[in-house]
Amino acid sequence: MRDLADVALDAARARGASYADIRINRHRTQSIQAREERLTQVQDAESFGAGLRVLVDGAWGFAASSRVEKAEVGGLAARAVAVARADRPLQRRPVTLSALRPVQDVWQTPITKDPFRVPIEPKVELLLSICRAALEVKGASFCDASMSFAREEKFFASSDGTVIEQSLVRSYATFLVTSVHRESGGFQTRRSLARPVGMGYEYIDSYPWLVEARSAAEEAVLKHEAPRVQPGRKTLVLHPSHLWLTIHESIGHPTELDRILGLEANFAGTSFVRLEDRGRLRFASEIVNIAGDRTQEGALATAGYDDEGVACGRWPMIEDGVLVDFQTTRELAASIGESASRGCCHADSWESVPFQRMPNISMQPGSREITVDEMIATTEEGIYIVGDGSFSIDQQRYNFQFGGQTFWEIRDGRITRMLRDVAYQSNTLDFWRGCDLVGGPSTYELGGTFTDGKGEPSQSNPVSHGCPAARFRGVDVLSTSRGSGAGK
Amino acid sequence: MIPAREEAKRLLDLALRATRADGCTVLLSGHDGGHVRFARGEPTTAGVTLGFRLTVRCSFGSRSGVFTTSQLGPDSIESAVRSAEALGRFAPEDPEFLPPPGPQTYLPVEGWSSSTAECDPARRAGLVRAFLEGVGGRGVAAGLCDTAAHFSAIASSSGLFGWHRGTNASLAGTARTEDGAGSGWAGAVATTLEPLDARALGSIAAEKAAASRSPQSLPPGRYTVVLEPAAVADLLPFLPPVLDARRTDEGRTPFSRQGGAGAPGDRVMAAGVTLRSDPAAASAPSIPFDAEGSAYGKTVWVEAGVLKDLWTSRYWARKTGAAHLPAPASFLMGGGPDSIESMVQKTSRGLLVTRFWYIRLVDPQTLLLTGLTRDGLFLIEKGRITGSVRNFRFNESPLAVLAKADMIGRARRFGAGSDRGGLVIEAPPVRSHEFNFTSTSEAV
Repeated sequence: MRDLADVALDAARARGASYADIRINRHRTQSIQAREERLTQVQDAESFGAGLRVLVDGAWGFAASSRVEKAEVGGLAARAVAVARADRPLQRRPVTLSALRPVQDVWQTPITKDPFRVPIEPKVELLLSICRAALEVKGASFCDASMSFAREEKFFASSDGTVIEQSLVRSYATFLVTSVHRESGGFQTRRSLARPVGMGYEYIDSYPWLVEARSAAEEAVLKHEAPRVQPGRKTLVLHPSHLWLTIHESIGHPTELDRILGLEANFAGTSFVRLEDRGRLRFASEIVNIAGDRTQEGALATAGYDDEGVACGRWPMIEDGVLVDFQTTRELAASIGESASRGCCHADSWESVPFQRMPNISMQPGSREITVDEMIATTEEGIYIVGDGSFSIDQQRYNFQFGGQTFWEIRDGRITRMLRDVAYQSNTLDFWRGCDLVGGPSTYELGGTFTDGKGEPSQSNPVSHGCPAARFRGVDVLSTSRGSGAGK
Repeated sequence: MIPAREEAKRLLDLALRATRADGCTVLLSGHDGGHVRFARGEPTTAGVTLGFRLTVRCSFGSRSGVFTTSQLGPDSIESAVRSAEALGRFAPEDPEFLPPPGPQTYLPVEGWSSSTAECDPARRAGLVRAFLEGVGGRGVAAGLCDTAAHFSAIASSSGLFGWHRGTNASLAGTARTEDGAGSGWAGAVATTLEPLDARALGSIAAEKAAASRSPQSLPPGRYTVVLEPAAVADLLPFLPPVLDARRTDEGRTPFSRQGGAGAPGDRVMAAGVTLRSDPAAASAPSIPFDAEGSAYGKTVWVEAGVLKDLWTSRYWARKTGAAHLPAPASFLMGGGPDSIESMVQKTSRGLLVTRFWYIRLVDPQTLLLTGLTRDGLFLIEKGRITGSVRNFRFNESPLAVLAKADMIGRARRFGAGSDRGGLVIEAPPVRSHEFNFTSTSEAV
């Protein structure tokens, strides 16, 4: 690897690059899918290649190839430099990078059971067992179950002398139970609350799959009889299996500095947050504290270093409800006069250009131990939402709408019955300023996704969000059954 | 450079000769292309990429496994075959297994442009420059110029061989006014670079940005809408997943009747709506075979508003006695005689929608979607555009939109990006009624 990297970096320098870095990555994935009593897919994949990034006279160029051999890697430099030179006349502000001390290091996700060393048979048996457990429940019609694993072996070297080798592992399993009510022609679903993690197969071993498969099936069946929600302004108690996604969309994305500066304007959008809001904007009520953290144990965006060699760390982003920091790369940090990047540069493949991607962004639990039961007990009227569902937010991250997996009516401090067809709409700042209760450490869970999309050409990155349960006042709830004249 | 047909076949044959499995299908695909991304009126990232994917499916009886590699050396191909075989041996028997299909006849597809395949970084930079000049001093531009040559080849132990290659060129961009109060978008995709009028696209985006400043806030509710082609193209990708015979028979699509039977022959949309797939469509070519090697034909899904067909997997076709019809790679909505201008002129009160954003499924039973308008929402009064409107969130089903469509214009092609489910789309402008907007958004 080192020899190949030297060939590419030397060639880039010889052609006039003031800076260059190369990533030689091997990305291994496994996907196993089942429905009902049968396996529908067993697929392993391996993608290996090299991507070279160069800075020539203040303009970026990039070239990538799956042919990882000396002649090809040397040729990458010529192609990347040609790209940079072609664009240079259009460049109005030469790119500069924040300072970085060279480092040589090795890092790997701490796992106890490598998912790629676990044979296929127990994985298949677990998926089929999940389907059997769900379908034993009367009224459950279908069950889809799947698991997927990823291992990225990442080699990074830069013309500044940094050389880093990392091995990152991620695991995910999920299922979806469907109940079809033939008499009414309707169907209801309930998806697993399990979320992907930056862990090994030990996570799969530790999760109560069969217990949840049965309860999920029961809840899917129960939805047929559940009354539709009455729309209105309500109090919401949000379980962490739901709240992580609201954090992702309404806090994670608007605090990306590339969006704030307009670099995502054509696709993901910009942000309602302005550069001058740092240290001033009351983003949330004063009980809300949020941190960016690429060191969080078990989280998907956790690594030793980002994709330009910056050591990963943890930093406050919202303190006592006030916005205090952003997500940055070396280029973004330099563009606002910061001395160092927050280590948020990431590419989803050797063939993708690294750019600013979201770190794990997690909400801190309250210092006082408040359980979900206590939150409900102190709520006169509201809805308790569990699990993530439909999600949508505008291109500046003001207006959002979220669904969920199950919805429970709260009256006089008690759960009274299940509701259905629930979604809530709000404005980001109104919503977070309405947070009046944060759960304690015992309510804290890690949520996340394998596939957060951003950028053009589109990239997909894994990211986690830890959070406690929390309560929000005065949120607009709508009934999705009233939303359309469509249907049968 | 992507391999020639003969070289692709040689690589596929290497895999087929290496396998000891009862059955084997090998799919080789790749791309050679480049892009320039720009924002704040200048390039931000740019690159060129060459990559391949070789996917080997091996079966033993009804057990099968799949392995995919990016490496095409003889040792890597043999290793991929052994890995697929190993997975197949350990997989359980599949009661729905079918051996690879036999030799197929594929529709001839004309979708190649040598000038696009050979496009160099300077030419892409030139397109970006022209877009920026089109915007001029009227706004701050951001967008993407992307050109690529791509290919797919498939072969199986049952004697099947298929080859397809194509090129794509796309340019799309947003212009935002300097004060951030207005935003407009324009884009185009084609097989060749030549028809892309980058300067005109930049100019359209800038005009929309200027016109969208100072929006008035209207109350949420149901409005007549004139949807530009991009807005229709944002809705169409949600339809093919529910045009699935199996899921419909199982009672879990909007087309499932009470009791769980499919409903071809039912009127499901307005009389002007036709939805079809055609890999050989000159205006929107697409791959002529699916991942199993089954040939795509010319298929009509909805004709004059009547549901004609649902896609049907090979297994479901055998089980139910229906004809096998693969899930589509393209989804083309037929055009009509109406222009956007005539739609506006014939609308007493409504909204002109440039495009949508962040559309997600809310209720699969009705195909209820939520999302937002973006980059230009305009009020129509008495046949004229009278001003811009603050963006709305909607909760609406594309089935309802197409059921209430009463004017349709000329269809345009859209790309097969990840946000469109990998489908090549053709979409016309459409006027529809009672479109359900549920809240306003401050976003520009």
